[in-house]
Amino acid sequence: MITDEMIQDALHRVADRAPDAARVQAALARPRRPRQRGVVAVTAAAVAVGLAAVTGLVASVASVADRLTGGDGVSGQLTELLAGLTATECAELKVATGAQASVSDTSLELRTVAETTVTVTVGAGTGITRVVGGDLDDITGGREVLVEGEEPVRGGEVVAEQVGVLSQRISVPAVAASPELLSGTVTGVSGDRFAVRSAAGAEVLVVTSPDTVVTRQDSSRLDKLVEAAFTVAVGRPRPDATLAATTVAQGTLTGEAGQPPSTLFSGLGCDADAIALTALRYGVG
Amino acid sequence: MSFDEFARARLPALLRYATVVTCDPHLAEDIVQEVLLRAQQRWSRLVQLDHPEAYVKRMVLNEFLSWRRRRAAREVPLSQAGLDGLVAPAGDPAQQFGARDELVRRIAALPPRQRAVVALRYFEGLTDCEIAEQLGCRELTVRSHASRALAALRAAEPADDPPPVALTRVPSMGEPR
Repeated sequence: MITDEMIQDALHRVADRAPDAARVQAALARPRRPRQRGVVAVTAAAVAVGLAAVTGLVASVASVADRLTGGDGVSGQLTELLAGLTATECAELKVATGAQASVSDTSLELRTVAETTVTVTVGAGTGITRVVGGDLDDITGGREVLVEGEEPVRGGEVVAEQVGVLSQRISVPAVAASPELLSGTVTGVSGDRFAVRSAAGAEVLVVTSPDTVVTRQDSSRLDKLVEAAFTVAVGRPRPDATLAATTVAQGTLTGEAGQPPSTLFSGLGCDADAIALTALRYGVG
Repeated sequence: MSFDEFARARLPALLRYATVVTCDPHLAEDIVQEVLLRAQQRWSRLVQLDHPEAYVKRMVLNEFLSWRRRRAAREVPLSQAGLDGLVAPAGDPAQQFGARDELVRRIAALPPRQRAVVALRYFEGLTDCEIAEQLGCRELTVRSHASRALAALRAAEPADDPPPVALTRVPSMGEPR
């Protein structure tokens, strides 16, 4: 019979195989180098594309700021705000990501990975959602789901690694489109299997396992959002250097909030909900 | 406390924690380095927290379990030699430690979330409620993971020549997926 003490003992034996701290400390003390082993030509091309992107971004920021201020001079605060936002295919919609720093009755502040603060204003029409841990019981007929799994196997079944139970159907971003990603409506549930009908009308059988992670997107309110959690706001920049949110979405991870690249939102147009959920699911790190 | 002081004092504990969670010393080193580099950039804020080490440990857990990392990872079989490196320090009399080695092998073979629950419960001594908070899930889910993990650990002895255990290895960023 395996006792708790035996498990503790085994785990301490695993811990005893930990890497040498002095060696890791020395590695940390060295200047950080890119971990990629790229080809020089590829690197050069990437630098060129990056410069072009930065040049375009600066021009874009100035252009948007000019529009917002009537071209009479660009507010420094507004320029700073725009530089901290990610553009989308939709000219009006920008994306702010960060850890929630504070909240009031009508706004919240996000602390971005660049250590800047974005003030997000929320109105009556702003959709607010929060992703929470769920379980297989949340997968019921009629619910919209986003399934990420292993490649389809026998008879087109998908073995689910993650299932997100959504508050509404969303478009799948082009960057994530793959045979292992499925979005649609649950049409039936039986034991550890459920069927999903995609927007195109195809029906796919999904198999869950004990290791399938289920999350659920719930409607929420400003005062229900959690401090320090990774939060995404999609909205329109205003001349007072705030972002008027169409959608605010919060996830379960805390703190670690990278700024996603605009290419992440390719194919999503002006669908603010899809943009927000995409940033939430794929923009962390 | 400066970041250097924190890293010097807590690095051994963080590496032990990450090794238990991942059951892979190489992955543990990779994750701890990555997390500490990010923590260093935000140290001015982290140091104001009541328990910066708890926050950094959560970063380690998130890094290990994050969907993006798992998606980028490749499942490769860990060889018998790899398992031996994890479970059989020199000088262990085989008969005396055989059962413990087998238990370590079974822990290493658990799915990531089940292993994380086992590590947090039995190595870190957290309650189910605290584990649920760490993993961003319900207590019920934690208990479900724990129950399945313990059932797997207590299952009947495997065959004499078990198949290789699949552990997650993370490729370098430049490697093709």
